Amino acid sequence: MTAYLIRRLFQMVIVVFVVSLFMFFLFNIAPGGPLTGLQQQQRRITPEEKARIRAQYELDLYWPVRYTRWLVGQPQGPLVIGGQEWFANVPMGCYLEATPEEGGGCADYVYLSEMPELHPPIKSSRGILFGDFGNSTVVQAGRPVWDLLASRLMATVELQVISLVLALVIAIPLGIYSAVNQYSKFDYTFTTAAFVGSSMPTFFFGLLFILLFTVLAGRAQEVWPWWPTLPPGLREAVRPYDVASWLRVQPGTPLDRFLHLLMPVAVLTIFSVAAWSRFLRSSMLEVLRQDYVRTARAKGLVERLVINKHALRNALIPFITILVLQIPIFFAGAIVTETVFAWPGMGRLYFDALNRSDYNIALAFIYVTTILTVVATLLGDILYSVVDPRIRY
Amino acid sequence: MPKLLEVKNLKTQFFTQDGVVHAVNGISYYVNAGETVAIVGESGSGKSVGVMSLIRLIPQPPGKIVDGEVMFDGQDLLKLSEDELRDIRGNRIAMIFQDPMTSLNPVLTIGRQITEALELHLNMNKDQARKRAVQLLEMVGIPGADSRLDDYPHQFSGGMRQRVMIAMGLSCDPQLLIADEPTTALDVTIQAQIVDLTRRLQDELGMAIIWITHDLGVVAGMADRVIVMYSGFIVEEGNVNDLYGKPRHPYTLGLLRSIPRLDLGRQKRLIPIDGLPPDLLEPPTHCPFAPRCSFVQDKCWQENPPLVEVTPGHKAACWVDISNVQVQVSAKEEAAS
Repeated sequence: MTAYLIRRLFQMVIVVFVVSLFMFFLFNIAPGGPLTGLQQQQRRITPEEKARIRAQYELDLYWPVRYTRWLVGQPQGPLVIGGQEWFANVPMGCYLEATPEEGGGCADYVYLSEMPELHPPIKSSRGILFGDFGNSTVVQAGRPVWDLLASRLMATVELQVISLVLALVIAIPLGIYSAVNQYSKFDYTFTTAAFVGSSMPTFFFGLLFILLFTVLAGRAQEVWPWWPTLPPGLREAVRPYDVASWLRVQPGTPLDRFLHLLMPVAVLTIFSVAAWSRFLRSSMLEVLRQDYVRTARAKGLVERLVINKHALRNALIPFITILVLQIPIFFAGAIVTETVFAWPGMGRLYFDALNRSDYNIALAFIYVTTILTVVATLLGDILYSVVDPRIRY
Repeated sequence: MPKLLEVKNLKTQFFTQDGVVHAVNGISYYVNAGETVAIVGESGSGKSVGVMSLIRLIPQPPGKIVDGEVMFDGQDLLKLSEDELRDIRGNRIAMIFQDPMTSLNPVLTIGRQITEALELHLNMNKDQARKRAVQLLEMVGIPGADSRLDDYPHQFSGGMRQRVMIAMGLSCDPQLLIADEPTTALDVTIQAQIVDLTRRLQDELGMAIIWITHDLGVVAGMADRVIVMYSGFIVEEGNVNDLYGKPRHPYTLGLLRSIPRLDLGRQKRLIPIDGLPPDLLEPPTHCPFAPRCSFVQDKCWQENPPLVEVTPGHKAACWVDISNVQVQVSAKEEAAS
């Protein structure tokens, strides 16, 4: 087991490293960037001004240099050994690009010796490996990324934990019941509904709910007075609002927060329930066909014990994979759902960061998600060996 | 001897998308207390479904027992409620299955799987059940029984697992043990061990056994009576000597002639039964064996022969008295070879 864990940890480090390198490269070649908007707003920007702003975002540096600065905070200046500066004249980037008339290429390189002056350490990070994710550049310019992530984390965790618990409580019994009563009317209804639920994109249900409970709620109340109006976005209201004619909700109260949770939680739960119960149903059907289930029946066990003790334990084993992969989602949130409901969580932060080219946020987000995913996978593999005695490492 | 089990006109069918599968077509037989009855037949002859129907273990749906009576100790098992039947399953009628590799639950220790039935039927507490489980494992010949109780099925070999299955089946001291091809998945030396073990345990405990197999060789040494099934019908039934010595159904004769025998020398070739068993979706109204039978006559194509007593205690379902014809056939074959 120890040897296995060491090997796995080693592999995980490699995976995280390769992912970080790859995504950094992808962000580098992706079109657009923090300067795109700037150039459209101010057409008459001079090349010198442009170079200065580029330097502010470190865009003047070559991308491998930026990568190592992002990863470990180096290089920050020439190497000093015994009072002597080494590699001072190695170009690290291009500060000012030459115009086509000048023959292209670079007019003014950034040399290693110029680094402390042009890119002082205060502006860049000590490196993500040392826990410094740098500062936000656009979304909330100057604010440390870690601080920004932490401020959003609770909103996402709240949403995800509630919908996870709800989804498990609903999906597991549904899947079991449907499998045990295969080809019954319930089973047909359930599989159809679950198929629709898991095939529809999440924004469909999000928009549908907003339409039903916010946009058209006023009209619905004319016919059915009990129809509620629900707040369509954010975690808390700003002003008092009416859910029904007889119920006014004050912002910031527990009821207010509860009402704000309803629609996003419902969307996430519907999706998870649909996917998981289908998975559990097929897993359960597979197990119910096994010989050892027949053996359990031949022993004279009541059907409830046959299902819960002999079948369910085996059927839940593959479910571990799905469950542990919820761990990175606790951090990453649901990008689409959070965006649809303007939920101030991680998913929406990521969406904003991508939209506005705030690379430090986007990179930190992917980096942490990657680490959580590999850790969750390892955790899943360890859990497998706990619940299934046949698996030993 | 009193009849422990009497099956009358049992019919089991499976209602599938392709149509109704006539798996068991009205079979009647009995088992006396303490006796061993072997049910023989090829794959798909309805032998497994027939015995699983006794304690309603077939999957319902699609399976359904459409007709018949299963009298066990004066009660009709088919008329009992699910709860009443559960008291009998694993307790008074136990069953062991074909594939010991898949018949044990992989995530529960074998101790747990054995004690389960003890706690359920004999109301033992955990300690008592554990002690009894150790005894049972010792009885079926598993060395180091005490320590092996906490092992999982994958830590046992195939033969050892079948011993565990037998220990589990015998845990509540059943009056009837149904063994559904218990040796088919095992290699020959282990087969012999399991057969010997079962015989020894039967002598000690005195239960009746229904032993299902497609291997007439395994049956010869242990059964008192043999029932031959074909296409969901019983085609021949008799005590072991009658049936082996003077088979009265061409199918039984075919089975016997396809067993390799050490005493007949090299020259004698095995004679396989040509053709395939009939489609159970559309059972024929004539004799189901007619298309493969070398004794076939016009009558065989018109009507399915009933199972009738040919000599006392020996029944066969055939229009032809093959005990006479057979002599001529063997003589012809002798001449040919």
